[in-house]
Amino acid sequence: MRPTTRFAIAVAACALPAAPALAQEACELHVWPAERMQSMTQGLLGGGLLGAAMYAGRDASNRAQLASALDSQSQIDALQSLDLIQEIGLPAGTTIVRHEAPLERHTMNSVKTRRSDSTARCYYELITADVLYTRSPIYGRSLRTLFMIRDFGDDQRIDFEYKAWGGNGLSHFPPREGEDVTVAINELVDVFKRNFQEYAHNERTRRSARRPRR
Amino acid sequence: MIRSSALLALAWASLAAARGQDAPAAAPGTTSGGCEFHAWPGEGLTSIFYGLLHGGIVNGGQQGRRGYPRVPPGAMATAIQAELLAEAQPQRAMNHPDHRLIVHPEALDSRTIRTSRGRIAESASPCYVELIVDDVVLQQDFVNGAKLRVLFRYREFGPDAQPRNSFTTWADTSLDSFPPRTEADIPEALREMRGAFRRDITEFAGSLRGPRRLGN
Repeated sequence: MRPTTRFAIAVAACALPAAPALAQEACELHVWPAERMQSMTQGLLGGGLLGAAMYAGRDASNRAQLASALDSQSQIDALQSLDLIQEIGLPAGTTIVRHEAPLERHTMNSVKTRRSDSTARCYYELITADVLYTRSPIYGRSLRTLFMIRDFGDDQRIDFEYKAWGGNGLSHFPPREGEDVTVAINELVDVFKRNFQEYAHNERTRRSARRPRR
Repeated sequence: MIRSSALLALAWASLAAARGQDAPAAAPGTTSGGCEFHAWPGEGLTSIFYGLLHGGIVNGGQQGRRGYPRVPPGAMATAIQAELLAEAQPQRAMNHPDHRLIVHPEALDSRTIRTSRGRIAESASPCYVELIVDDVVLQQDFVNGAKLRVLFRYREFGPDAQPRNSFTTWADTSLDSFPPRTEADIPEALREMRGAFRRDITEFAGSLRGPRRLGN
C-alpha cells in the first residue's frame, strides 16, 4: 500500500476515535520475503559431505532457479494473492505493508523488537525465513518454507510468536536441462502459497489455543 | 580486494573505449508496420553461492556478507545486457532475420514478465516477437565453480494479441575468472562475463530451434 493510502487510513482513524471498526484499521501487518534459498538432494548413499559433493552441481542449479522463481517480489505477490489477513486470523481491515528487501537471515531470532519504525497500536510481522528444496529417495521432491509471525500489540514486546515450516510435494521442479521451465516455475509459486496456507492453519490453531476461554 | 564501484566503472569505460563501442541504440517501439523483434535486458546480476561453511543467501556476494566471494557492483548491469543484446542480433539466430531488432533500455519487473499475457510493447506489428531476459544469475558452488545462468523468455505473436508460440528456459556457461580475486583481474573477469552472456544467447537460440521439450 502506498504511504498516502496508509496516511489516509490513519487520518480517518484519528478523526473518528469512537468507531471501533476504524480503530481496527490501524492494525498493520508487515511482510518480508526470504533471502536464503537452499537445496538438499540425497541419493541412496544418504547425505553428509560426500552426498553434498556428489549433488553439488544439481543443488547449485536448483538454488539459482529458486532464487529466480521466488524472488522477493514474487514471494510477496504470492502471499498477497491469498487473503493474508483471513489466513492468519488478524483483525479485518489490517493494512498490509510490503518490504521487498529481505531481512538478514541471521538476525531473524536475535532481534526481538519491531523491524520497522511503525508506531501502529496493533502491529504484526510476517517473515519468510527460508525456502528449501529437498529430494530424497524415500520421500521424493518437496518445497519447504519457514515462516514466522510476531504479534507486538501496541508496544515493542512480542506478545505472540509462531515459527514453523510448511511443506508440500513437487511434480515438475526441477526441470530437465533445455526443457520449457514455465510449468516448474509456476509450480514453485503455487507450492509456496500452499506451504503458507498450511503454516497459517497451524498458526491459527496455536493462537486460538492460547486465548483464555470465557 | 575489490573496494569501490568507481574502479569497476572505470574498468568498464576503458573496455568500451578499447572496443570503440557506444551504448546500444535502443528504441522502444511503437511502430505499426514491418516485423519487430523486441528484446528486454534483465535487472542486473543476481548471485547465489554455496560454500563449505556459508551459502544460500541471494546476493550475499554483492552485499559483502561474511564468507561470500565479492561480486563487483554493476557487473552485468541492465545497460550492459542491453548493449550485448543489440550486439548479438538475436533475431537472426532465432529464425527471424527479417525482423527489426528493438532493444529496450529498461528491464521489466518480474511481475510484468510473469503476468503479462499479451504484447508488452505497444506495437501493432503484424509479426511481433519478444525476447525477455528474466534473470541473470551468477551461480557458484564449492565443487563445480562458477556459471553464468540466464533465464530467457521467448514469445512469438504473429499478428495476434496472444502469443502463438512461447518458450522459456535457462542457458548456462561456465566461468573461470569470475568473480575476480584482485583488482587486476577485473577486466578479464568482465570480458569473460560478457562472453558468457553472448554464449547463453546462442545456447538459448539452439534450444529454441531444436526439438521442443515441454515441462515434465
